[in-house]
Order: sequence, then structure tokens, then C-alpha cells
Amino acid sequence: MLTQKLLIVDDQPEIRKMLRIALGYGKYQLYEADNGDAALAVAHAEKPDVILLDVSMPGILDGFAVCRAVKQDPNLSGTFVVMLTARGSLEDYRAGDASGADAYMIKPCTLAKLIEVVEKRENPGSPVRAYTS
Amino acid sequence: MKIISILPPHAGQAVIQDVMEDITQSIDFGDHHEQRNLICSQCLVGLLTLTPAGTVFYANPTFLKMTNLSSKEIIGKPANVLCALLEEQAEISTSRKGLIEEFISGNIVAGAASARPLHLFMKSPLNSVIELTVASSATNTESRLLYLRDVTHEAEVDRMKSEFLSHAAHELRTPMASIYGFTELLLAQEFDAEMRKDLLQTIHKQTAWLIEIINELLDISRIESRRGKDFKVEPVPVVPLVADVLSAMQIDNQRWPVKVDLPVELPTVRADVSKLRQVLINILGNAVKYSPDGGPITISGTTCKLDDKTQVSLTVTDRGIGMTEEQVARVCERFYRADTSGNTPGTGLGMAIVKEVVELLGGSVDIASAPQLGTTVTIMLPTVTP
Repeated sequence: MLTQKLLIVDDQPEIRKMLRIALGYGKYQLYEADNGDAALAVAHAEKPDVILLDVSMPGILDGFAVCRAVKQDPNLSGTFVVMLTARGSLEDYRAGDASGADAYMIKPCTLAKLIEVVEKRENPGSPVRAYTS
Repeated sequence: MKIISILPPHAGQAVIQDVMEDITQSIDFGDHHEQRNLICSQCLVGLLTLTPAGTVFYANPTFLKMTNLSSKEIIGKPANVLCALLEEQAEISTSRKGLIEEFISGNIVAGAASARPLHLFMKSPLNSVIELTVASSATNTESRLLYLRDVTHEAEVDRMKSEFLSHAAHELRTPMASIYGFTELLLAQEFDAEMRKDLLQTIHKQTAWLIEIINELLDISRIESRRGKDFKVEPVPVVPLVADVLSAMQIDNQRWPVKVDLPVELPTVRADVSKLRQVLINILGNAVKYSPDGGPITISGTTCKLDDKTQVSLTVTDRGIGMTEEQVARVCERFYRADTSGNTPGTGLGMAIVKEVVELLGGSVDIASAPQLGTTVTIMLPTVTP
């Protein structure tokens, strides 16, 4: 029974495919977007429970901008945003924190850890900068 | 009194001490002013002395220029006034007010300099970075010498290095994320044979990409560090080289019919043949990659005069997806990808390598492009006979 909605946002088709396989274990209705604009459109239409959000994407809106927009929208107050990005510098993490992200994970990370973060959804609003673990 | 010649910009602590000794001596004895003024006015480092009472006694012209202050504003003024003016010139946030005064008045062993210099990011001259060191006199620790060194260039090099590293890390992590994730999936789950093959193919493709990034990173850092010193520059006949590159690349002539239009009398260029080969491979590789629907590729060449010197210009034209003006302007930047979708393999370093190599060979690169119409890359190279 697909009881929850999860939106995967990444411009790389391989990464989307990987996340689709890893998270397709029968709990989540999965949605995908390959850029910021499309991500926001899906978010508004579907009100996902979780968004896995890449940062560097083509187009005007990067992942931080998408996260800000989601967090400012009262209709999406229940959405848990996981930044999932190869941008691992402290400045990038701070930008993610400032945009209101709930978790900050640096690629490459283990899928097991990612699933744990998605399932537990701990400490919303205060992302922990997590390298592979 | 020791006469100190014009200080080199990287004068060390020993020199600071010598200068300080000189200056404090001349303060104490009140003579040698002319010599002192001559030395200090020629000095390439900024120097300022504070009397034991803590007022500004002297500042050399370099100090005034670096800090954008005038002698009228600071000479005879107490240290806190000087520090407030310096903090105004340097970008010091209000939360760190008093930083310079604290630094200058801090405890310093007699005759020594502060262990760690302070870096000031100046508002004017714009973006300059100044390193401030404080030294105290051997005889009277209350009298101080402020020593300024312009480290703008070093700071910029440091910034570029760390930017390069973080870019490189980002580029390496992207294919690693796929390899790491897909292997984890294969280890954790059962897949049918077809799916397993598909996942392994993705891993293989991403690994190839990773290898390409590593090779190009090494190429560009080697080019950067040797600045062409390891180039074996020799006369290179262009026509056979182009033929050689084309046969090595094995471009599918059905999809990308390559037309070579090089005059047989094209002069021999001065170049490193292996580097020039790489330049041609990168340019032709892009012509193929960015013409996903296929299309003709033309290689033409001609000679022209630039500043009275004969140059060979080689032009590669494709009918591919092309680029916008903004993309053209950035295409030779390291790690810049016009297509960030991940659909086109690449590292964002190919054209950066082209530009670096061609310029080190004494040539230039010109790119003209329009979206949906295609791209023309022209490289100009010096010839053997001028």
C-alpha cells in the first residue's frame, strides 16, 4: 500500500534511477523532477511527505531556492526536505541550513543511511551535515 | 647605524627587526633622519612606528598607499585613532571591532614580531589583501613597528586553489554517487539477469567517466604547474596530424561525415605534437558530442598575418546544438558545462585544456556559436617561419 508521497529531484537520470530502485519498496508513491521549476510544480500539486533535493541543476532555481520556496509555503509545512548533493563544503551546508532544509546529505552516501533518514525524519529544521556513514 | 637597502617584498622577520632597530635608534637619538627617510620611502613594504607613549611617529609612503590614509590623518595621533581608521578601511565587521588595536597592543616579546600576522581585506584599493605584522623594540617593548605586506596575489592564488579543489571534489563525487549506490543495490537486492546487466552497465559507464575526470584533472594541473616548460616544441606539419587524429578517433562517418578542407601548402606550425593532438581530440570530441543528431563536421585551415607574424588558423565547424552567447563566454572556464543534465558525458575541463595549451604555445582560441545552428572553434598557431 503506497501510503506516502516522495519526490526525487535530480538532473542526472542515473541518480533518479538509483533512488527509484532504492525507495521503491512499496511504501512511497514516487515522483520525479529533473529541474527546480518542475520540482516546485510537482510539490505544489502533490504535497509530498518527503523531497530528496539535488542542489546543482540546470535552470534558474537551484535546490536551495526550491527548498526556500517549499519552506515558505504554508501548504507544504508537513514536507520533510533532504538536500542530497555532491556539494560538500561548509558554505554549501550553511546555504542549505539557511534555506530551511531538514537534512543535508553529501553524495556519495549509502542508500541504507538515506533510507534511515527518510524513515526517521529526525530533528526537522536542523540539518546535520552528513558524509557517507 | 646599519643601512638597510630597499627591502624585498618577502622580507622576513630578521629584516623587520633590523629595520625596527634602526628606526627606534633614530627616534631615540633624534638624528639620521635623512637616511631613515630615504630607506623607508623606498621601501616596498608599509612601515609605521609607534612611540612608547603609543602615538604614531612615522609612516612611510607605502604604508599610506596601502591603507589609503594620509599622513595628516594619523601622524601624532594615538594608536586607537589609527586602529579605528584602519578598521574603517579594512572590511572588519562590527562584531570584531577593536581587533586591530588588540593585535597591535598585545604582548610581544622584546625585539620580536607577533607570531601570527593579521590579514586585512581592504575596501580600497579594491580587493587588496594586506598582511599586518607588529614587532616590538628590543630595548623598549612599548615602542612598536607595524609592518604591512601586500599579499593580494598570494591570497588570490590560495582562493583559486581551494576553489579548484572543491570543484574537483564535486566533480568526482557525482559519478562516485552512482557507483556507490548501484553497487549497494546489487549487494542488497536480488535482480533478474537483465536488470543486473543494466545496473552493471551504468556502473561501468560512471567509472569510465570518473577515469576521464581524473585524467583531465591531472592534465590540467600538470599544464598549470609547468606552464609549458615540459612542452617539446618542434615543427609540426598540420595536415598529417589532422589525418592521424581522425583515424585514431574513428568518428562514425555515417552520422558525422567529416570534411577535411586543408590546403596542402599549409605552413608547418610550432607546437608540442602530443599536446596539439590532445587539443584537436578535445575540439573534435565536442563537435561529435554536441551534435547528438549527427551532422557534418568541417575542418578547414588557412594562414593569416597577426602582428606581422604568419599564423595558421585551424577551424572545426559542427551543425550541432550550439551555445548561447553566455555559454560561449564561459566555455573555457574549468568545470563549466553548457549541458548540466548529465546526458552528455564530460568533465567541463576539455575546452579549458584547449585554451591553456594553445595559449602556452603562443596561439589563441576563438569560438563562435548559435543555439541550434552549431559551433565553430578556431585555433591560431604560430608558424615555424615568421
